[in-house]
Amino acid sequence: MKQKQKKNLLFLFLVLSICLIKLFHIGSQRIHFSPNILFHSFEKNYSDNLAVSDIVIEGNKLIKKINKSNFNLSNKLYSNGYFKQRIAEFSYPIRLDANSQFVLALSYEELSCSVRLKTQRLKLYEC
Amino acid sequence: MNAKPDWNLIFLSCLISFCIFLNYFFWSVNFSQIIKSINFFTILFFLFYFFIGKKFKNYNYLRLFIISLLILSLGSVTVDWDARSMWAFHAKRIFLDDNLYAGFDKYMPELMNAYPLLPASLSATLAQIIGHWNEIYPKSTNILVLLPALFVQCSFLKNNKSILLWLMFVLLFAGRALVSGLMDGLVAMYFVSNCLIIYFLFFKESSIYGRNLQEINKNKNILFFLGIFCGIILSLLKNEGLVMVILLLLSAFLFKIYLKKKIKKREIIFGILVFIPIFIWKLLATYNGVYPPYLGTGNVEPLIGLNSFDRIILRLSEINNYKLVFKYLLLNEKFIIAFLIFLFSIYKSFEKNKLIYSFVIANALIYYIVLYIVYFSTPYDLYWHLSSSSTRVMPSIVMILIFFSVSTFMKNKE
Repeated sequence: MKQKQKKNLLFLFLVLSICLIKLFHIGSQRIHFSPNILFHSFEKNYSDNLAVSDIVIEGNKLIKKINKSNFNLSNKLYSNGYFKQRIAEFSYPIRLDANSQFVLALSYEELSCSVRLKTQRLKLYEC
Repeated sequence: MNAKPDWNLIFLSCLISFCIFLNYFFWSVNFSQIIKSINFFTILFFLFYFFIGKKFKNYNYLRLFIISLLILSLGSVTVDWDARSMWAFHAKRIFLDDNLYAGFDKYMPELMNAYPLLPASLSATLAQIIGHWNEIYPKSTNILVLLPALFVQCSFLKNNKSILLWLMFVLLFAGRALVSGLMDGLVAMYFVSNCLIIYFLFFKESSIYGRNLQEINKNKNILFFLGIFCGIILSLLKNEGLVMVILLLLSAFLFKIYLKKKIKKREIIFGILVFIPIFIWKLLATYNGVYPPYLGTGNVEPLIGLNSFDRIILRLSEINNYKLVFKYLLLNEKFIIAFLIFLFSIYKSFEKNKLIYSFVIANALIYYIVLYIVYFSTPYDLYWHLSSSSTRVMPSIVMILIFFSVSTFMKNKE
């Protein structure tokens, strides 16, 4: 009887330890858990900078400033799969539209349109 | 697998799965926000009841497990490509456009507008309650969607030791997928639960349902409706889910024919009801001209212009494709571990569980073959498709092998 209890305890200890280790592994290595995020998990715009890169947030700010319903991307930005997808998701309901007159481009790109807004890395043209 | 399951937990699972389906239904017919919110709080109430109810006092490990997943999910941002581009984005669209069918306008077609959106609709309901969108909390509703599947599994495992062991394997093999906003963990868990429910509905006689006729009828009905809601949820999670439901039902009917058992009217009705919501979704998507890109022609060299069948033929003639597919589907470490555990459990307890093992093997094997067909016919680059998705689809087979190993082996040990 005692031996069975000992066996059960050992089993419990082993399985619970594995569960704990795996939980810590998922939290720290796989999804980058943070207590700060947990305590602010329902706050507007909290940790946006962790979800997408800074350049996407920069682009989103420019798009929002002009207060229009659509925008377009320069060829260089359009061919960047990450940027294109993230800016389209992040800026929604403002839509990525190939016919839009407002074009987001990298700061060193020169388009034959007038610059409406700019940051260190991006420019927003009106064509 | 002969002991009686915990019918209280199964009943709770049935109620939660019904509410999850109701949420989707309310979105699909554009009900008012108040009704969706009340329904959402009902799900939370049932979860709360599970945590405080005396009937569930033996499920402390399960309670801890659910809390841990919720904390992990709410304590991390959504960064995974598919979790963001497909699921979170569609939830955001449903929330901001206040319309389940927002994707039918074909905006960003590469983000899979034809995919079914049941979990995304629950995230959208939470977003309506909160009042704004962010990159953290919407994915946490996946844990609520997980509850019915998890409850069903644990109710059939019954003893604490096997529940703990099963939860450990869930964490090891699908833990990350369950908290990161991906659908693949949910698909794997619902595959297991649906296999379990369909097996019991189609092949188990009255002994597990209770002692008297009234109890037997009541529990049979609970399992019947739970099976319908879980089947609907699985088919509306992802296209893979629909394939799984078809496989499970097809194999169940074939097994019945093979065993010379009569196919009951009730089972045919079950099969029809499960498919109605996904059929409506696919019909509406097709009507609006939204198709999965998978059905299109190849989009990389040398597949441009080839249809699915031609792509399979072309790839089958190249030895390197076999090497590549085997590397990702056969030499997957999770699959190997699950396969060894399953073999060990078969070796130990096959005689007493012939039918259930055969049913599980048939379903796992057919799904595994389907994966080969899918990859050999992909319109994308084979290496890219395998490396980006094989680790996400394998947990379904891994989990089904492990669950039935744990449940039959532990029962045998008692």
